[in-house]
Amino acid sequence: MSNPKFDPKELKIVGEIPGFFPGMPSTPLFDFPVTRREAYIATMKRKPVWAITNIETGMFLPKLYPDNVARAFTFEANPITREQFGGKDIFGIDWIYIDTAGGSMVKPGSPFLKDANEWKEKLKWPDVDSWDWEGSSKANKEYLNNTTYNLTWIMNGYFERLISFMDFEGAAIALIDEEQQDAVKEIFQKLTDLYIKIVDKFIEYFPQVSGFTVHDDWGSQIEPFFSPAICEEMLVPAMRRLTDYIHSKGLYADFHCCGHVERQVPNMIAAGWDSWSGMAMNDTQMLYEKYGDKIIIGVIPDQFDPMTTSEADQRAAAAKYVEKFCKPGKPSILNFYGAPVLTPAFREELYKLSRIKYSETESIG
Amino acid sequence: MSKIDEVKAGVAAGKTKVVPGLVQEALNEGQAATAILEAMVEAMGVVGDKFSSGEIFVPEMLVAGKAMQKGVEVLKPVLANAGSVSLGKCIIGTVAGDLHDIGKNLVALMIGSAGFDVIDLGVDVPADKFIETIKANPDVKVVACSALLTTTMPAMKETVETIKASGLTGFKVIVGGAPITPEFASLIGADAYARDAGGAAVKAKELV
Repeated sequence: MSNPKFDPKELKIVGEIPGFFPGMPSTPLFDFPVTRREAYIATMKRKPVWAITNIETGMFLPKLYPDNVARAFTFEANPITREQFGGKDIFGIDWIYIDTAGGSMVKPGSPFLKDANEWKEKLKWPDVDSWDWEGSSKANKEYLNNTTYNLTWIMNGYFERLISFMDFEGAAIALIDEEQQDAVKEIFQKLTDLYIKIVDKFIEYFPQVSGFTVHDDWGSQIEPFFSPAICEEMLVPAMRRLTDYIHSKGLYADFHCCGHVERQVPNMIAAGWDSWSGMAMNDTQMLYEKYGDKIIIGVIPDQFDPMTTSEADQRAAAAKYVEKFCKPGKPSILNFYGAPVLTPAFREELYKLSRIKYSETESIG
Repeated sequence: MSKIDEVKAGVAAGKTKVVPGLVQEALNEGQAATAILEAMVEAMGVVGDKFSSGEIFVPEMLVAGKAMQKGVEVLKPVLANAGSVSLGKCIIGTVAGDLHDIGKNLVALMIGSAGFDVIDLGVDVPADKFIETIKANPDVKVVACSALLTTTMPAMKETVETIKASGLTGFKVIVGGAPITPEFASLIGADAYARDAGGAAVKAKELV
């Protein structure tokens, strides 16, 4: 299918979507030639239609999945309220919601597993079949009846899950302790079995879901928690099996990983992730140059102050982004952490120039 | 390789099961307990430097610290007879409203490995608890405050200001954590700032 040539009429604003968080401005919607879902999938196929920002995806994190409630992160027709934030995750581990952080954590100090080898006797694996898939499917039918790329999250990834079982220090040591490493690998593979089952359920009950994000935490503000070699040995194989499975279903696998983890990007690629949007302490522009042909990087554009920057300069900034990060066969996503520059002028110029560039060079796969 | 060098290498490599035996062998050879301890402190200093430079990571630093702790357990009875070789007490905690303990624990580990006796108050520690503990330990040399959340920076400020306004003296206050900068540390009246756990141990030694 050819990529339709850009028509200036596309810049007509035909709708808007509310800000992601309360207080954020709404976002205009242009008269797109294809749906936002099609545009996002085209980018995943490396045959982009326009530069993806923050309007093409729709979050779907239903409350039927206990981790989403425990982590206070539900996006669905009837999301939970503050009183319901926190509580037990799918393994019965207690999470506490911290208002000031806007998120939940397991209170450290009394780890459920003191040694990874205890997992077989102590871990009670969740009965995914017992969750109210049918009810949630009915409740969210309208919510998912849209034209966006519906993304659901597997909220506790691999290392993050191990931390929830063992506290941070226990989890970190278990990764390199020869007497625990085999048990950790077994836990991770068993988690993949569980996540595959959850993926299957989403596919069965929410066919409008287009992709999965696995949420993990591999780094501090300064460095990864663990070495690339340990990541490759301990985490990549189990993750790879999950991403292969997601791909086998014709869907896409996005990785969310906090921290300064530039050094782990080769492992993200080896694990099969289609995309990753790193936090601002990562040099996402460098990572795009270095790895953008192997994983779709969420790039943070050069930031400017929308209040003091002229419209002409805002448009010039958008043009620079298109020139540097919208290359044929090597698309990027404009990183959520770079969203402050998404002014109306920047957004319009970004859309227009990326459409022109991609429609001259690409066809939708 | 001398037995003391073996102890050093064992600590650096995080050989928790081997180090106690090596320490005992070094003692049996007639090595002074203080010299063995100093060797382990040196080893942890190297570990801290490697961590700060990104050569090693959190797990390696943790196991090295644990190996040293095992070695110190063997030395303790002997050191008790030889008199204290401690650099002094360090009170540490994560400030009020913040439950994160990863950075704080790493700092406690490295400061302990540098030769301080660490009093760890845990997480979500109100300013009054720091004051109460300082009063209970008038010989304290270093008070270390940690925060991970940007939203708990005001609690960090309140804690440091409360400590400084208390009239209690004889110790220095060091702060750190993801959102903390040297400028912020200076602004709230802290005596020092450390970027990471290895740096915190170096800075704590400089302060006493």
